[in-house]
Amino acid sequence: MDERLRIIIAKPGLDGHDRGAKVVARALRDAGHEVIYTGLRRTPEEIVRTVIDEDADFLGLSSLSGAHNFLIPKIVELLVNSDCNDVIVFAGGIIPEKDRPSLFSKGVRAIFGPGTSSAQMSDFIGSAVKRREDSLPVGCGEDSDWHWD
Amino acid sequence: MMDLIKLKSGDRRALSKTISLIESGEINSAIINENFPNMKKAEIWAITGSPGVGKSCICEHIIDNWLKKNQKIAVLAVDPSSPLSGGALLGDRIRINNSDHSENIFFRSLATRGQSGAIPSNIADILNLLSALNFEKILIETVGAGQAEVRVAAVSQYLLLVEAPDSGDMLQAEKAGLMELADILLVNKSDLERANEKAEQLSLAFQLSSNHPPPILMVSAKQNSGFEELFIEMEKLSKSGKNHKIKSRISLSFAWENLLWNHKDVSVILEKLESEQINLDEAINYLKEEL
Repeated sequence: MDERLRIIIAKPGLDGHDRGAKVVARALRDAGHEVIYTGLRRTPEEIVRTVIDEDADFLGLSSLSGAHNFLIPKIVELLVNSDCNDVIVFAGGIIPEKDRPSLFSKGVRAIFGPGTSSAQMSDFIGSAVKRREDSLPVGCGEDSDWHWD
Repeated sequence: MMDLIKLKSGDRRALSKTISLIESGEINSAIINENFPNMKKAEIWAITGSPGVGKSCICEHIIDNWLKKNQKIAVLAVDPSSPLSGGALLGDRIRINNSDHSENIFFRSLATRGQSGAIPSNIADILNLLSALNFEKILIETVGAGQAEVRVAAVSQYLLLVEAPDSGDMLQAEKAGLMELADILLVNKSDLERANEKAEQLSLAFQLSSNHPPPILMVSAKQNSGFEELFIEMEKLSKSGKNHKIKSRISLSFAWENLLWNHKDVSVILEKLESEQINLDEAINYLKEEL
């Protein structure tokens, strides 16, 4: 991929585990992107503020605490209210299969679990960028049920 | 294109989008000046020092002090891009906690973008934009090693150089340029044993070389000590309004220009530019490599 994207990797809520987030951040950097890592225990408001100030194309949310069903929709809602409909949101960590459809329906475009390869992530990012180039809805606030799988 | 109406109304997203346009070279100062004819100049501070000396912690204290005075602040945290992939990991937000709270602070991470982008040239445009939008204080944080940082420092009005007792030898050649530009020298981690020794070494180095040594202050971000003195010195500089180091700054850029015009390949490069075999960025990058 030629395009250099700005990607935020964020850890929302009370969750102290960020090995995964750091590995993802590193892999995306090595793929040529500018990655901003927020550090641990950020509130949804702080994360949205970061997305805005940093002019992010993508937001990756890492959650291993079980609070994904609350935090992720909350963040998407705040993004939409802040005129960030076009930001592409993906998630990772421990997110059970049964919780995924509802998150996808709220605008999350990919969910990565343990064992994901960086090639898969690149593939998602490539597909999402392609959709944006083709003017297809892909941002968290854009109406579409498309998601990567 | 930049959304002037939103920009002027203080919309954060319009600002951050416009910064991206400046980064990619689509907007420059000429355009900004044209649209904001009566801009006030923001006060621009740079903070630099080797990795691990505690720049971010000190930034946090400085920002808090400004926030208390209800000032509108922008922070630009500059980190290097990977020369291999062109990507960058921008982590300064982690350590500057107040960056995500107050409405009065805008925090942007910038990658140096190595070969193609050359932040040191367009950071001046970003500063211009922030000035135009009535930011009162701008703080640039960079890792202090190498020429790129000297140039980032040179776009600022005031330069804080941070050292720590456990950081490397002060008199390293690549730091000499920065030392001469510093308006305040900070020895962080003053709670550690060898901090006094470090401050003395610094003081001695300046006695040998400079007529007007900058103040050397001891702080401890950990114990929150020494910051009152720092703020007083910063206030003094800010009130004085004059650039103490402006002469050396100008001479530095002249020296830089001289290097350029004395470059062995400069006529070849000029010819290639003329015949459009290469563009300006390529020419600059080539010369930079050779210097």
